[in-house]
Amino acid sequence: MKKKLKVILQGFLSFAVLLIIWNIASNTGIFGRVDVDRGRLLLPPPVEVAKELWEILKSGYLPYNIWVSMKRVLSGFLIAAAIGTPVGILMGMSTTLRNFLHPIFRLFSPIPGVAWVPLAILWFGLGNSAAVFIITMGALSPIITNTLQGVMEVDEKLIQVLRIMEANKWQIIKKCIVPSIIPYLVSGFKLGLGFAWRAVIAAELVGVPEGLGYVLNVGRNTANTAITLITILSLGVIMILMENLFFTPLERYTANWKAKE
Amino acid sequence: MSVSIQKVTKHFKKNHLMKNEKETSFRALDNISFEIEDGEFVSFIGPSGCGKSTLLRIIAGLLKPDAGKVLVDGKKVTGPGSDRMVVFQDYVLFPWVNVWKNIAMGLEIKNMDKEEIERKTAWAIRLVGLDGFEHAYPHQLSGGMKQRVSIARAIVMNPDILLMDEPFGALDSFTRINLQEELLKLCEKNSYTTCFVTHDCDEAVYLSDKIVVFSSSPAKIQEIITVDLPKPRDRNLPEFIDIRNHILSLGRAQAKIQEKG
Repeated sequence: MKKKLKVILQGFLSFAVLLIIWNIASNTGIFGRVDVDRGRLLLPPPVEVAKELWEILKSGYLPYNIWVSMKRVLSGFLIAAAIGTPVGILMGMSTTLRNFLHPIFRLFSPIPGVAWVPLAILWFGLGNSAAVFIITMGALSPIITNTLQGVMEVDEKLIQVLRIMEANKWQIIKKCIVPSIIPYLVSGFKLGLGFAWRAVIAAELVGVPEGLGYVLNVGRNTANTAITLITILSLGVIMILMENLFFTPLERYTANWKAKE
Repeated sequence: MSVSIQKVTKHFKKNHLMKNEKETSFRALDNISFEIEDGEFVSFIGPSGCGKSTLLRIIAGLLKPDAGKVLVDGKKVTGPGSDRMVVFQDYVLFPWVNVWKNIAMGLEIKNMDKEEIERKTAWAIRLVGLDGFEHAYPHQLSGGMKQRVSIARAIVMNPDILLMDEPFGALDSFTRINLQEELLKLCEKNSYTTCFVTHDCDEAVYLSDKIVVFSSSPAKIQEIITVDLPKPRDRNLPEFIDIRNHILSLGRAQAKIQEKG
């Protein structure tokens, strides 16, 4: 217990150091490189940022925009998972389908989700649909790749056992393939979600209204650097929360039997 | 049920390590024929790579012979089926479900009603002595216990034929002898027709009504030995030792030929 406390304290210490350096930089015109007023504009001191944070939390501006981005990410991500998982499973199970889809998949998978932004805006206009489309495109390929890899690595003997029990294709998927690929699904979803966040920020930066990416720009356009800093930090916090509340427990659950086998 | 093996031949492609040799395939089984009576316990014994496991897989329907056929009660084997359950050396349990669920899986696949699954699973668990371990996961069990689960999973389907591929090969000798005795009781009680692949002479003589001795690749039958001693057998009986020594001498001659190339 004492050890754990020490680790936490040391972790907080790094934040304290960062805050102190930040504070000095703000108040000295970035260590004397620019004059003090300009320095405070470029890098507002922590206290200013905290005040601004309190303001936009109170007014609901920040939570609202987080919610907007989150909704886009989740819709795009869920669509990608709903398409990618079955496609990955079927590609893994059928050599014909795999050979058929592989060339298209090879071509499209290295394309960053962000590259779809102009096309999406052209097709869907500046709105939610464009954002969701981009996110889906960004998240799809890691989900398919990981699912496919998982299916390819399913223990062939387990499938033999099910065939001896006269299981049909659907029962084989349900009893063996899906449970075996869960660890791969988790890492695919994790990657996919990371890509989805990148895509949503890019889309909102380019012009899809509202959301965290949009707020980043507002901060720049209105010379309110504090808002931009807050948004950047929120992105980090959101990712940590997603990781700790969702993926870490899932991974712990699946690693339980995987590591010991 | 009786099993009739008729002129079974199986070739395998050579792997990449043997690419330079002229022939591209080698014969794992060469024109093998013999009969297994209903309720008989038959061991396949021979040097590693002699195709005894291959033959077992062909009887199971997991592999197709290149020529010849296997008849079970006069009907040609075309694929795997739950009338012929297989027990593998490496257990092949489903790591994500507990002992109970592993054993019940085949019954679930057959869509039996809940009470019947419950009753049969409990019966199999009692029979193999896994009482109290129903909720354990495979990774929490010793090798011997895992093999008990694997045997229970096979007998719960009420098969006519048990196919066992070196089931006790990975176990320590105390566990092995223990399981041999229990398997003998099981087979007597439920009158299974059993094919048992092994390379342990003592084990073969202890368990079998008939021992098929294979010579190495291409696999031919060297001799079929009928063991006509009452069960359970005393391993120190002179007749027991005679048969064992006879198999050993066959094996030794084989090994000499193999080493000379």
